[in-house]
Amino acid sequence: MIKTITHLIHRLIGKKEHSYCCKNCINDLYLVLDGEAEQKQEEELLKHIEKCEPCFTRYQIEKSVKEVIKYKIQHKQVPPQLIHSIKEKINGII
Amino acid sequence: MEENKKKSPYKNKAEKDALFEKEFMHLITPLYNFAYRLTFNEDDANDLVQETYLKAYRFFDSYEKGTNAKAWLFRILKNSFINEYRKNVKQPGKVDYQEVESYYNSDDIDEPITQDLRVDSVKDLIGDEVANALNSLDVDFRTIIILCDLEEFTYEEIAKILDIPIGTVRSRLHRARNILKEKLREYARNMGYNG
Ligand SMILES: [Zn+2]
Repeated sequence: MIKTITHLIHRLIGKKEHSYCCKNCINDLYLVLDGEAEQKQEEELLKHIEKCEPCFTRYQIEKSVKEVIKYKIQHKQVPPQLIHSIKEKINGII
Repeated sequence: MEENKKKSPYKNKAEKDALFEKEFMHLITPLYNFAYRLTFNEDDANDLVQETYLKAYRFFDSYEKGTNAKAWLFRILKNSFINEYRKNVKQPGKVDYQEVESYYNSDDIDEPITQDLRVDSVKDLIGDEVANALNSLDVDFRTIIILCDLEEFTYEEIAKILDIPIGTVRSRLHRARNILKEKLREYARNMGYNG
């Protein structure tokens, strides 16, 4: 409740505020997104972001950044002669 | 650590080579891409990957089956990279306690104001923009994003690959992501999505 009021006041006076409500949330948020959270931590965070708008937004952004890194970046093809030369070198070691 | 002077477990070299190839050669694409993103140079990437495989072969007997082959190779490659390309830059394996402390003791380390980075504008970025943003990060930050987000290693694996404590993995990831978001915001802004 107090948090909501603080948000509103900050918004009214144009004060920049953090895109999350507390540091613990950010830490948990990364743990959840990185698959490192315990089940209880994950459940609690998901319950929290249902009610906390800044954390919900932050969660969505962090998730989408992680996804574009994973799926949009093109991978370079390995030069076939590299594979060939590695195998040749290894086979040549006595 | 432990004296392991057992006889070679392979019948002959052909058998050893076949096992080695089966265990490690399929990982060459992520390794090559990691090397390229560290050096931005195809020849250097070739050299790094080749050296990694030759070292891995030399230490193949000490490699325990069932340990994560990919993490093992990534660690060798990262060490080779430090030894050859960053000799004078930073001591490998040295823990930056200040980095961890400043993270855990302050309430908001360089938290950027990213409210105006919107999910839609992130999703509209094209692959090249994302790659450029990643490539523009300092090598330590770039590396940790690659290991975590691109290659999906666990924190524990990343800690082993980089020889740093898990606390440092987490704080460095946090910083790297904040900088990355700022870069992505610039691209998004240039596209006109964010005013
Ligand atoms: Zn919150």
